[in-house]
Amino acid sequence: MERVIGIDLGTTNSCVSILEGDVPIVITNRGGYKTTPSVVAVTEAGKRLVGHIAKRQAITNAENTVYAAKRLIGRKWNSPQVKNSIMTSSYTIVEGPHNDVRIRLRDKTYSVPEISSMVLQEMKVIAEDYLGEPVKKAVVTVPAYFNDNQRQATKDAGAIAGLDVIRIINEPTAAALAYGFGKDLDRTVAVYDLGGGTFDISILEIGAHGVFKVISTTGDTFLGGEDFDARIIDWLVSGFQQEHGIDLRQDRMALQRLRDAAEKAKCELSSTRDTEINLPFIISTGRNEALHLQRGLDRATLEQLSSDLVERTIDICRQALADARLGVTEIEDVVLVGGMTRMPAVQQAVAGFFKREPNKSVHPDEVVAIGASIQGAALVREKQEMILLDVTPHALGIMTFGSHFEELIPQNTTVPTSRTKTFTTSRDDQTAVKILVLQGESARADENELLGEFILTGLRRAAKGQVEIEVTFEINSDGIVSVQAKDLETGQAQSIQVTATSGLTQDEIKNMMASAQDYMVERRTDEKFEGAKQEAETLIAEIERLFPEIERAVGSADFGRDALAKARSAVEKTRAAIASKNTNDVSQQVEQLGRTLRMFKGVVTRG
Amino acid sequence: MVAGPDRRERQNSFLEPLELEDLESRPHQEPEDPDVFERVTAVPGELDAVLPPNPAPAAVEAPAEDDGISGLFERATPVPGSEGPVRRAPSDPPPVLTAPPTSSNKRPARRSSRTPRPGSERPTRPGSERPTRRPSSPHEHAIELELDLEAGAPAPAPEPDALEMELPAPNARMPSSAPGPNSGDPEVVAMKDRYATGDFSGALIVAEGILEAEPQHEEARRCRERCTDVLSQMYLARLGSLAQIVQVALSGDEIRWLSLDHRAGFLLSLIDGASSIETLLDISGMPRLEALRILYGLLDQRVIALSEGQ
Repeated sequence: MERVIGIDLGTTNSCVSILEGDVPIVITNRGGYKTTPSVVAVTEAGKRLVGHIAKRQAITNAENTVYAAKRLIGRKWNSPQVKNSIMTSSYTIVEGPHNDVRIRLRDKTYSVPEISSMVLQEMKVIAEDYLGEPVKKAVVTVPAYFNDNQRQATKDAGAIAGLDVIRIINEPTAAALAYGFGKDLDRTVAVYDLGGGTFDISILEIGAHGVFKVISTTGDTFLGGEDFDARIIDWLVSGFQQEHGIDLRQDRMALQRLRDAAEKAKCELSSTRDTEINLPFIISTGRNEALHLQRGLDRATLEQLSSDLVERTIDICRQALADARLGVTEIEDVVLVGGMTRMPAVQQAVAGFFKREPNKSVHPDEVVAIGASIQGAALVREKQEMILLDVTPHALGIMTFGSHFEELIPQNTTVPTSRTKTFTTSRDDQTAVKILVLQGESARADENELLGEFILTGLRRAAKGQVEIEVTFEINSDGIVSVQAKDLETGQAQSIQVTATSGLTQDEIKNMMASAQDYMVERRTDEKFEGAKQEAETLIAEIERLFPEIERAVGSADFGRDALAKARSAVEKTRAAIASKNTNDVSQQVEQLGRTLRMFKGVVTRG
Repeated sequence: MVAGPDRRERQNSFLEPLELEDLESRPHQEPEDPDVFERVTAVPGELDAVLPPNPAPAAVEAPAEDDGISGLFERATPVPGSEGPVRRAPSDPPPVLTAPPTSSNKRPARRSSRTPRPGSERPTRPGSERPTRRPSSPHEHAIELELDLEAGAPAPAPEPDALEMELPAPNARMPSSAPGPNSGDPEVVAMKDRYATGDFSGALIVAEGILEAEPQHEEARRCRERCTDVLSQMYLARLGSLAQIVQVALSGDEIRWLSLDHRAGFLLSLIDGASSIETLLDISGMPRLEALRILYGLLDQRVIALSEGQ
């Protein structure tokens, strides 16, 4: 049976999981962490950095470090979210050739799916290192509010990374899957997800036999753990300014250290009542001396600094309940997702609002990836005990007179599906109608996503309301939406087929896939060479350490001189192989050096 | 806390055997001399080409007090006396281009009075700026540096100097060097002199000064690149394998008593006990040369230790 990994592709952190037997395993990366920052950077030397290493240089190399690419994926260039990101991002966002978004790093421009593919590729490598075999298939999670284009862009990112994304599932659904795994639940739950960069609250109905239905979902894509960190940074900076008259924000190195320290302090204060922030040599004064920053921070102060942020999440929860037309008492459990939910003040606020203690049975950082891996395993198993049905993430409809949105296919409708509605003309003697196909939940058409448009002409001249036009929406099992408008009187019809697009052409995706594969080959080759080189250098160091002893012991004998000459020759050959970056030669020399070292050690032991 | 390998061991491991033997056989050199590296101003890989068949006599070696490495964490504050004209050993050939004594001093002294600029590649070790830290040797000049002569500059007397050997034909002058400081300019001459004497740090400072005034100055740009390469390789040779894991060897309290600047403090803050030298270079956001210099300084002061990677 083919292995399917589950990936939580987060705004700030990503996580990969796999089901081993019936046990979901979260796979640690090479650094031993279970989550990997969704950060990509290119260094001055053109080297690509992904994950923790990229995050650690995010401020000192801000222009060439991409974070929160998820906020941009699948978005149109002129969307408000993109405009917002342009204002707030340190990296350069430019318009792509298909009204899409591109990001400039050093001298190259990348599409957003390409950036996300780098994170997905990293998650794939983490899984492959753990499993010891190639991984091809994955289930990737996305926020419940993602539209078809954003989902398609995420799929494209997976394809570029060399992954066949067999299913995209909603993050709250994945969390609910992990929460309900192995239980036969039938209840309404709230999934409160406060991550590093975004906040989402979803109300779900978990039905018998594995039916998970998102009743409402809302959130704030610019509210998360980073905002809490920013409050601590502000507090530290203003304190330092008062004490020394120096603005630490003006120095990138200082700011990078402040950010790291703030995040660390915030995490510590979830389990301890106070902590100390100690940053020696934070800034030089210009008088040949460097100043230290040392300040204690307690939990109460942090809570005071960030109380409004917590309150904002509660306001959004209130909205989610209103959207779901449910009262607080109808929520039977609250699942906490995201690292920020470890903060005691957040847990207290959630408990206060929902009037019940939140469920802590699932790991907030891992639950979404675990849900994805559970779904992945279920999809490839012959006996499918639990299946998530493909549903439309958003309502589909058309624009009607007065810029109203008329819904034809409601949100969360199981696909394939088909719905028909009849409309009439809105003006006297109207001979043509423009059909704008939209996706979204807003009653206003302009607040929803435009998927496509077409014009039906040749209508009979008549008073308004007399010509009837039948509009049919159809979604097939591949998720392709077809819309047809038909003049009921003449039978004349026009139609459009809407396919979700990430903003990339198939050729572009193919080229990006090839580049990603080349990168992986190069990376694997480099890793192999570095491994051999390290081994060789260790052996050389050991051999050279023993040279004097060997010379003393056997240097006077002919065979001893011969052995020493051979050893020196082996060392030189190895250095030459390292210099020429020839992995095979280095590996061969490692064997020779190993034999030499064993011989030397034997001489030393005997001598 | 993992102790790093002995400094001499590291040197033995990563420098050419020929060079080692030459150095260690020199009569004046004490085995425990902590400044042994200061006697090596050329790149290991180039030593075969640059070292004379017979090592230079001890009398023309750098003076013992020329401890550039140990003063790594101070900004460049050249000692007026030490910034004087290039002192040469009696056996050295005179330089092709001679600079007025004041001109070679002017640039480093002026620049060193400025507030340190984060991200600057400028070497800051006072000792390293001393023009006499390494004796001039004809063989050392074999390190290539194509220097240009300004057409209008007074033609120097042909001397058997490597600089002269690398000079292009007078009519092959690069257009970009036409305006501003030219080859006859005292600063350009000072840059060449310093380079020729193996004072790459000093040459780099002068080159950067010229480039600040005239960013397109081709000779200065090439000199800067070359000096950066040579100095980087020197530090690399001293640090050893970039795959080595860096660890902090002192406690937080001990570190606070050191005299470090904020850049060293920043690099220290990046050390997590699992990252290699290469990783630190990647994430520091500093010019590679500066990061290497600081790391070496920290190692030299035993603030950090290196251990073999996994």
